[in-house]
Amino acid sequence: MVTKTLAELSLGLKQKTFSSVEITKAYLERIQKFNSKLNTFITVCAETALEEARLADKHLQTGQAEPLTGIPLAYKDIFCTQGIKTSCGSKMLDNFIAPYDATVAEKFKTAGVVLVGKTNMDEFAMGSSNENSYYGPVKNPWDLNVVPGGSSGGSTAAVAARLIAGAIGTDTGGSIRQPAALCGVTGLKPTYGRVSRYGMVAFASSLDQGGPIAQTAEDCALLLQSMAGFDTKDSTSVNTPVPNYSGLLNTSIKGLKIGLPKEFFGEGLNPTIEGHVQNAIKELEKLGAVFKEITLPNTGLSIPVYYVIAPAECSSNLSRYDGVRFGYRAKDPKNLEDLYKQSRTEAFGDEVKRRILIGTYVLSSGYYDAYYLQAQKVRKLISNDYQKAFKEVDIILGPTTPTPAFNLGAKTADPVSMYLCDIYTVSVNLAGLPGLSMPAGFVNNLPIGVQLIGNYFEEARILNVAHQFQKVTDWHKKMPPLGNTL
Amino acid sequence: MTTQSKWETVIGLEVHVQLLTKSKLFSGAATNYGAEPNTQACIIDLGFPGILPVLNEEAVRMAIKLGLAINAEIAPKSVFARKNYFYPDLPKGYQISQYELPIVAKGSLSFSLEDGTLKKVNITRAHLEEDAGKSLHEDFHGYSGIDLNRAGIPLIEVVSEPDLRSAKEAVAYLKTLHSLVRYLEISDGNMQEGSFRCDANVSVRPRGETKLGTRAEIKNVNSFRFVEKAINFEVERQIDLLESGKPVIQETRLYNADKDETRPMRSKEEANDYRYFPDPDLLPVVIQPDLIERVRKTLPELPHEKTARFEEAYGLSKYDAAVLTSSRELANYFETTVKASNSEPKLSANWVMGDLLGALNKANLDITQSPIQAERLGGLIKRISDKTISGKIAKTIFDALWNSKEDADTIIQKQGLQQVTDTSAIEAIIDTIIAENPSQVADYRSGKDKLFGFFVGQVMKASQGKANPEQVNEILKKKL
Amino acid sequence: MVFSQKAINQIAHLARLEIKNTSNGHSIQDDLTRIVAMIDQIQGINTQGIEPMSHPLEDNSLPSEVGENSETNTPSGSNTQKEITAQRTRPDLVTEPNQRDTLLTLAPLAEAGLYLVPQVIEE
Repeated sequence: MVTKTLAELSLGLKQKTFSSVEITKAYLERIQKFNSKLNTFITVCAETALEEARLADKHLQTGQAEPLTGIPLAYKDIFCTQGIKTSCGSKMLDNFIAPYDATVAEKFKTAGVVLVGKTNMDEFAMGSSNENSYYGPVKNPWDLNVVPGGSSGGSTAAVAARLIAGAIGTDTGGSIRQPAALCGVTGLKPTYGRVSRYGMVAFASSLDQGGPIAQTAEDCALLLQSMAGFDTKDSTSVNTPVPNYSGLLNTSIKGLKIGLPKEFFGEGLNPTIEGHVQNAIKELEKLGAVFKEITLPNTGLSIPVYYVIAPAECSSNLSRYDGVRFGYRAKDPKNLEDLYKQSRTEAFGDEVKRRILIGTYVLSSGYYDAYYLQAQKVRKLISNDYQKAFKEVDIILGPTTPTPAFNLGAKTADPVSMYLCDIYTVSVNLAGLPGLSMPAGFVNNLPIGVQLIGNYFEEARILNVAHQFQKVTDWHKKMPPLGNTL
Repeated sequence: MTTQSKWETVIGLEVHVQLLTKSKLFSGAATNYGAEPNTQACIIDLGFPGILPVLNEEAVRMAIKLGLAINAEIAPKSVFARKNYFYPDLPKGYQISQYELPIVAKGSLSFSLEDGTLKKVNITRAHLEEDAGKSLHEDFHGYSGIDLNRAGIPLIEVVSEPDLRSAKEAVAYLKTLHSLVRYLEISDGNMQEGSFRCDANVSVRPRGETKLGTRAEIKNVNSFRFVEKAINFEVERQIDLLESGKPVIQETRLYNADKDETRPMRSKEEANDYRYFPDPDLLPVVIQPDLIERVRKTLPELPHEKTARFEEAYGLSKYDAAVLTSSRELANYFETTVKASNSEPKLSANWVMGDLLGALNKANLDITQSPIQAERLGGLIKRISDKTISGKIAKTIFDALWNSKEDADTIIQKQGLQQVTDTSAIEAIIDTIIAENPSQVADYRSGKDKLFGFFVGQVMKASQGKANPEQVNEILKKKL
Repeated sequence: MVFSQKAINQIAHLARLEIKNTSNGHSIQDDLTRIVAMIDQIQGINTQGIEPMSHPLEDNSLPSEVGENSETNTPSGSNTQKEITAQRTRPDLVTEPNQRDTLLTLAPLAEAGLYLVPQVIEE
């Protein structure tokens, strides 16, 4: 039962092949069995989940249930869930019980979702390996010595290990797509403004987006349908209609023009990954897609631009953590300065501190023009590159990551080497475009992914292409051999 | 206060005007003054993880109103920026304000100085920002208590050019701005409650010098009187320093009313680098011309327009017109009184400015709390003007109006206070008085002019004050 | 550029953080120097005439009609660019009730309805 996709679970519930309580119990048992080794969950909500499942079952009896009614899901611990601990993977919020629901959580509640637990993550969404969590690193279920990617590593590992059929994460520079690729699952970052950020704890406000993580594009479409939509509580939420994502999955891709940025296939890309990408291209060509080389000339600047803008915004967003109204507070501060400094120093991890410092620096007097303002301008150049490209092609394809998952601890010595994991993903956030990663092969028994990038609000299109790909391949069906390794 | 003609005072003022919106600038929490601590602070005001700001449309309208009233440019696009610093009354660790692109720019405010000349002060900008909370420093055994009710209430910060040249000018500017925001109904301007807060940037320079001297900022003075005193003290202090060869340090100072001095403020802001950047949670505020026109139509008659109209329409002096238009409520009261009095503007002006305001001041009431409604006062004045009663009797009726809900006519009727204007009746009384006081008559006729008053007094007494004074005078003169 | 200790202390103070050595064995100085060297790559880039992009929802970031490129049945957006890119406002209504008691339970230190911090002296 636990290997079923969301679509299969939804059908099964509708047809009364099994009940929500049954599948919820199945997942809870599996989590009980494997979580300590994988460390994917920070909080498991066993009691409330079963209660929600019971209610869902009642609703399912009426025949008026929605597609997600009774479906167990997990949320990255960055989404505020009322009455439930919301830690953002940080000591700073280890004792924080959210007093309200994020809009996305509320939407899922209304849809009848069963919340099984909150997943582990890099602290405040800062990281590419899920090694920066106060609660310890998440292990990649394909190889426990290897990272799952980050910052949504808990969500992607949980789905990969089939501890849950679907989860949600957030993506600021690649934090859904990169771990999805490294764990062998499908993950989507929607267009900026497509999914409400209200209740999604902010890291970098102009880059953050919440999105679905599941085994298949079909499942992601199902989740996105509930997540997407205008929210008056979020000033950056866009009021544009939500298409029927599921209904558009089977559109023919014959004649679809797909661009291949030459900058994504250069030095640094693992040759086996490149081979898999070429295979993916062949499969899509068989389905009628037409490929063309394009150029995104400013790709090389995307990491530096990202590491000016994201830290700048986060340095401001994280100022509210001061030990006064919620969260961690240092014991016996001597004075106000001490309260701030000790609370923040004791409760933030190293990466968070590094980014706050860089962010403070690039905004500071005398440096603002050279760094922050300049970065915003180069950001525009990067965005323009994409718009130029989209005049020639419908979507863009490339590898999600330059390498497969690396060993735990391999990149912690040098922060910059860790940052380079996101080379293919950050420009998508900078431009605000939708991006998806789908499983496309293995390198040394570790999964890798292919990324699809669409123009604004073209989630339906990239889900469509991914779904077509997944109809003729089975990478997404592969499961880590948990029975043996755990 | 010394007037050193050697030195020129240069003052620029920053006024924080708290807006009268029902809810906060970026959240739907209430804004009532005096609520129990933290009962009007929602998760958005408290800066909880994951919250986001959404802009209050009324605050934007109020800003446009102000901009139009000061003849300023309304920015077609303005941007909210974060001002980053740490302080307990600032929950997010940043204040959402406006920096490079404020909503209002380049306006001006004009007002009359004591000598009657018109002074025009340029206003650099006015922008929207959220207010901070309050620290209660009462000793909670070594702690300060923070109340965040005020956090998030909308403010407009109005920044003037350093065009003011004396404390008196500064106060006149403040009073004009104060009256304006109340006229526009965008703020109650209550300085004690903190809805109108003035910071003064004060510097001096040798007369004739064009470069600005180093300035000190005096923060949060909460009355016009204190503003004047604080500026005067500061000017003296700076002149003393410079004349003894010491430099003026750029710093923030607080005014102590008890000691009548300014002292440096313990560094709340130190060498603060606010690291302003556009708030990524908010989009630029775009104001279309049709919104500006819609707001323009809702503008009331502005104070200076009203004052000019009062001078002309009612034939009032500049001074009287200014007093009567110092608040919209008072102006309305006056005009209603004039109407009810059957168009007696001069009498109405005297009664409103004299007896009414005097009585209100004594009872510590403002015009909106007046026990005498404008219609009733007008009714009284009507009867003075049509000579039903004398001016003297009117004063007693005034007291009766104050203490009852009856109108003048009822009181006059009940107490039989009609003036006696019948010439023969008055003559009769006068004859009696003359007959009864022969020695005084003789004295008067022999040159003691002062005794005239005695006879007037006697006649008035005999007529219970109701005899028409002019007629009494006229007839007495004839008869004596 | 190499970060001087003084510069780091200044930045750390602005951020209310204390600098201690990190768990990766490097000094903060090393880490920051390395990161800044990387971000310095943007310095030489010619951005004359380019408007800074504060967020993706800017005037010319979106296609003039959302969805116009689509061959799928994506419906086109019903909003003009201006509506999407300008700050929305909300009506001036009180929509938040008093939640003090609930919210104060999350405070590390509170008394008499107030959040407590070590005493702040202003003068």
